[in-house]
Amino acid sequence: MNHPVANANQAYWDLTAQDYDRIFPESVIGRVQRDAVWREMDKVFQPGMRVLELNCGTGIDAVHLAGRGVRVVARDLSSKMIDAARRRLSTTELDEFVDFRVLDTAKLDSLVVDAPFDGAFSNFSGLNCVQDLSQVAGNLARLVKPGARILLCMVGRFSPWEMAWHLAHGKPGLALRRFRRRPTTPICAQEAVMVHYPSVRDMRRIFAPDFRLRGWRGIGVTVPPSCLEVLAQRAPAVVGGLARIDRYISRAPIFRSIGDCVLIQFERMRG
Amino acid sequence: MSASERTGTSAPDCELEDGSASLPLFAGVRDGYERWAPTYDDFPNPLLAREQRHILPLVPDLRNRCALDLACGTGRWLTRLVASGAGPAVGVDLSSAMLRVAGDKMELSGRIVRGDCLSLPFQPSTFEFLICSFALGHIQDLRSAAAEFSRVMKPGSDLFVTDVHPEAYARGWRTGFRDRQSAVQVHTLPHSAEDIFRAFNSAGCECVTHVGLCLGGPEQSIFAEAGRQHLFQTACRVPAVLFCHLKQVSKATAHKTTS
Repeated sequence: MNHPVANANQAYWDLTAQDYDRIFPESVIGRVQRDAVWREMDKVFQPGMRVLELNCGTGIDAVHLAGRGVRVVARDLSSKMIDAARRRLSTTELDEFVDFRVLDTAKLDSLVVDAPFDGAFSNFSGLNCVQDLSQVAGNLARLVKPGARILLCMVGRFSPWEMAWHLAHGKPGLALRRFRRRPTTPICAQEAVMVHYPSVRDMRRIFAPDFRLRGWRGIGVTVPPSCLEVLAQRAPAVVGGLARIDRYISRAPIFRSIGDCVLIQFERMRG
Repeated sequence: MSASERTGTSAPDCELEDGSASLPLFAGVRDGYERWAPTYDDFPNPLLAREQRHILPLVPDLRNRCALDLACGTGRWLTRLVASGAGPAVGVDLSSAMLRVAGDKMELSGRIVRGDCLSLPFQPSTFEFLICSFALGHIQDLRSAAAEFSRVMKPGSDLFVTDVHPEAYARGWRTGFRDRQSAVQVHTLPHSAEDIFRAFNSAGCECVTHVGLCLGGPEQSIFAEAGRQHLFQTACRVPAVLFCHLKQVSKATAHKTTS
């Protein structure tokens, strides 16, 4: 990654950090999407494990896992995000279970650890902003034990809700933004942050040398994406109902590949 | 020696013999708790109150120490462990119905795991404080349970085990409840302190202390509220709850039982 993009990325996430906790985790849609990811995470990462989190943001996932007795080494490129994460941790009695530090996921080469991790994960859009995912795959292969599971939640390519919403508002460019092959700039970014939306097939290919794709599921299939929070707040009960529908259909063929985000599970191959 | 009638749908965990019993329905552990779950938290129980009164002051500082509530049910102890320090704590139970009730408690969100106490879904040497409250009597294979508990315990960690005291059981105290249809007894066979020590000893744990707890003044109001004041004095003469404090001393070495 060249420096202007890295700097833009950092500036974008530093800016986002200021309001992130107020906006996303507390939103109706943010909560149900995170719950869906946590259900999967809680099955894969058990108490006593030590896992690596990339793009940890304000640390909400790491602190959740620590509450379950999972040790988390959590990294994010934004020092503002890490500050917020440390503030969150300071309100708990879990500080020995989480290690928050600044590290750009594009520079994972520099992460050296004493012992390989029992697993790794990245939640929500952090990985969409990392240009060279094969570098991430190579480093994760180095950093986790054989048989370890990797959970990667990324903004998906096909979100019917978002497409319908933008088309209905006469914005076909926005409706199709996730399909562009070239990286795009997020709607709210002021600088040239490059976001890309790899498909599950792309991800399988990128991670293929060392990882086996175990499965994937849609996050926010019938639940609308976070840009429709205004609608969700008017009918939180409806969102709750849709979240229950998601639980049943989000692993099914077709449905698992659509949604605001897609949660992909890889397994580090042995030998 | 059977579960006794109570007015209304209320019923404590362990019923007392009072001679006015109708024949209870006998239930296996899984079916029993499936049926008990919806009302489990609704009625005060003298044995649970007595146990709690004894244990609460003994719970160590759990900051940054990983705690496990074995057979957590509706999360009675897990709630207290989380509240006591907001350190890492999880509960495990086999009953989906009991876990559904636990899952409705906000503070337990994400801290509950469905699993078998004989095959815990946890890494070895994970927990530093464990509690198994009124559950060991539901497990026949004590040696397997001890080996599995010991596997997930860190060396030096503490395990509190409580159950209906065998002497109370011998006098007819039973684990059960009354729902709208009938009195239900859940299959339980409390183990003696000696059997517990022997099993845990061979799994690398030593006994720190054990004590039979009799009911006392603070539990009197529960009897009164249930309209069973007349049974209270008699009940107080029987050791009602067996409390054992075990410590994981070594994964490899078995130590002499101290009893």
